[in-house]
Amino acid sequence: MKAKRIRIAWKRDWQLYLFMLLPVAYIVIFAYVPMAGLQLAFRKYTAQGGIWGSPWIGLDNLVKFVNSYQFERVVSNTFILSIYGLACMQIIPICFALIINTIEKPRFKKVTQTIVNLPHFISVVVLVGMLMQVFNSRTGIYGVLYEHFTGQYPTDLFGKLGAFRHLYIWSTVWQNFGWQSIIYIAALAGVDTQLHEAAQIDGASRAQRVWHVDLPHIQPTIMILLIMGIGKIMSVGFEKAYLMQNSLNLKHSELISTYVYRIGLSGVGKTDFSYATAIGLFNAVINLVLILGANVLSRRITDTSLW
Amino acid sequence: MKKMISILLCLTLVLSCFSMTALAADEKTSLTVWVPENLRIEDWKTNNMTQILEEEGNFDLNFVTLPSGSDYVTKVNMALTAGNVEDLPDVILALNGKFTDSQVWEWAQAGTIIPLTEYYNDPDVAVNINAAIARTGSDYPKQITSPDGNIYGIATLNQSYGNEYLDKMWYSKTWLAALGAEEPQTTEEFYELLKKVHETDLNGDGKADEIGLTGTFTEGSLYYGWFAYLMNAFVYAGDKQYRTVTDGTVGLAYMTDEWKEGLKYIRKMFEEGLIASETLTMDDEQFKALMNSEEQVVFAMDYAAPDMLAADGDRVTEYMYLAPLTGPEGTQYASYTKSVANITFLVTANCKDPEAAFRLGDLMSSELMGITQRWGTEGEEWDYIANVEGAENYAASVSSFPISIVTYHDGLFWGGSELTNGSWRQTGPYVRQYGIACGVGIDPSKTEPYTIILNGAWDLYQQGNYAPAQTIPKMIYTSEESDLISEIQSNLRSYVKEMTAAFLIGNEDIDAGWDDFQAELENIGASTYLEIQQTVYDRMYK
Repeated sequence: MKAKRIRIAWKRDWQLYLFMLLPVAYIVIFAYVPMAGLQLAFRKYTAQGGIWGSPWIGLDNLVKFVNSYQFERVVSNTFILSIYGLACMQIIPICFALIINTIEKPRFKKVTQTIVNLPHFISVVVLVGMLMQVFNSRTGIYGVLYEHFTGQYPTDLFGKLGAFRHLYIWSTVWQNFGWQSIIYIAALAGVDTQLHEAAQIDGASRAQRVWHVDLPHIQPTIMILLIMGIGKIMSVGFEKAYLMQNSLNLKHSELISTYVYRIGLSGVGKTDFSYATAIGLFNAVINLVLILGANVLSRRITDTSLW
Repeated sequence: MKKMISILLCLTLVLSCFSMTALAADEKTSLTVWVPENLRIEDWKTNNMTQILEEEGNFDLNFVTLPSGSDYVTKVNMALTAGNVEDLPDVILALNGKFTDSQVWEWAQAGTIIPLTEYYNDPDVAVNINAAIARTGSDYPKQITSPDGNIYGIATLNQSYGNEYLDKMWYSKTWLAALGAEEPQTTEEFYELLKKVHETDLNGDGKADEIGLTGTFTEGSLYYGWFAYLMNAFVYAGDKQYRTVTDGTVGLAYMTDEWKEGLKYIRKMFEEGLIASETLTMDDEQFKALMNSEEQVVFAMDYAAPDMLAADGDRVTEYMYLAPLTGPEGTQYASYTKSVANITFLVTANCKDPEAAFRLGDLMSSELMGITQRWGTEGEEWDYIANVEGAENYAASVSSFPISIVTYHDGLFWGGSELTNGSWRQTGPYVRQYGIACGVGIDPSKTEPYTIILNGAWDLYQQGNYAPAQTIPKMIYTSEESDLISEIQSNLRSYVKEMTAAFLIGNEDIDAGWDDFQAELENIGASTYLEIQQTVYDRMYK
């Protein structure tokens, strides 16, 4: 009976299953198969033994990480930077999507969207290079303008400890808010025009319509993206922080990922793959806990959840 | 007639016997050699160097070229750690510095490469290596001795002052003249001079944009020599990890009181803007842009040469070298990195005749082969000065040395794209003493002003003998030792960098923060670190 139903389903939808084949293969090959390599976190990697044959050492690597010098510092830096970034990258694209949605001239709307989407395609290396050029205190636009108005060169912005997080987050926002807003704009396009018309007849102002019609409509989208964002808190990007790092901002710019690189992969002697894997696993477990927690909370409060 | 035939037969027999014995004596030792591919070498087999080595050592060398660069090291590492011994060649060559000591030690422990110590100790076998030790004045096999006391390879050693005194201070000669000042000799004079530079509109653009001294301070950057240059007038700043050796005791320069005084001196210059504050955050590209800005803004900087300046402008000859400064206590050092030997020749466990393989490496360690590796065929691409006509037209590149050789196509080595067949282009061992590189004959009338400046700088630093009596040599750790120190070293390095930057920019007060700084160093594990350094030092050099 069951077999028959499967056969019917296959016959009816086989094109859809075929479509699924590629993504499933992708996930199996690039997400599930490499999980076998996680055992390295509990082994002491040697070139002879490889992933499957190196000697077991239990939790040594994790203990070493938790006891390591500056563990608190790198974890708290990572958290602060991620949460700051998450907040900005949630709120700003939503606002932008709401604004774009209220624009009635299609041409203007399209041009604006294209312009704000463009920076998304700049690579991180180039972006940091641009950032350093623009904010250079002598040769950058910032320095030149400052000198023009005050007659002196400004102090070096990259040397200011407090400036690191803002530079990091706001350049990310500048680069990605347009791109992030696409999904909200798409969701907003699905708002029934009748609701708006009804609200208008009832005398709702534009702000009231945004608040009572648009926002509730995209709330599930917002929640889902937020949950997924929370699931990435521990894995804040390595490249950008590493590129922006210097001796003066290290107090804020040393993240888990840059620390792993420094200790595990660029250390003296040899590269310590096991240690790097252990810290990667540590991050993944915390991310998993966070995403599960956020999901449960979201289901209780807003009735929206991933599953 | 019959007699004639028998005589003839006898003769042929005798002759053939003769040729048989000749053949037997001519039987060559066949060696298979792995080399990294080199697109500039025409043909390994017909190469001039191959010919010489095959003839002198009676070898038949068979080359297997593998992809070059990091792929080569990866491939060799795979073969030596996880591969089949039967698949290995007799000999594996590398470019200088590609095989690290810890890698070689791992391979030695895996048993896929064999110790050559017995051949090193046999004066009849290690002829050229012993001669190389004598002519370099450096017992360099010590530097490649593994923690178990064995030597697992044959090394490259290239002695050159240009690399040993890499970092030198450079200043703008026009600005110095415009100020009517003399070259500064002490830290005090240097400070006064930079102050004048900072206060004077030397480039005449109406802006207060003159920078006394700048450089970089970021991880992995090239232009951070300025810091050690200034510190060296207070205490010898040591190597990149600030390690020093005094009377056989390993120390860390930043744990001394002199270091604190040096910090205060440098802090004063930051405070007054004589050293640009962005020095602590700039990357190499920004530094280069600053050096090449439309109007000159930088008075002094520190690097091997002013080669970050555009070669087609005037500014590249604007900067002159400055001797190390003398500090208030009369301290005067220059950063010094002794030329070290690195293994570039391995004999594998699959080699049937290790002694023959060793002899090949030994032959490569001769002076002639050392010169050939770099400059190619003698008589075509270079000559000993004694064989050069018109030798009186040449001068040694570092004037305190006698002329060694005259080269004819030196540009071919670094530049160009032509195929060459005179040498292996420094693949595998070569040993050259100071006298060769420093004594290369140059024709002063044909030398660029820029090159003359560079040679003058080498001359000054080398003759001044500004190196401390002892510097930290090469250290080879066991796996346990490197496990113990790698995290400490990395943490020490980044903490010291971070704190130094904070002291210099004024985020931390030097006097008030010094004790906490020292306490935190202990906390990270400075004493464990020093202890292991001392153990390794004693094992290798005592």
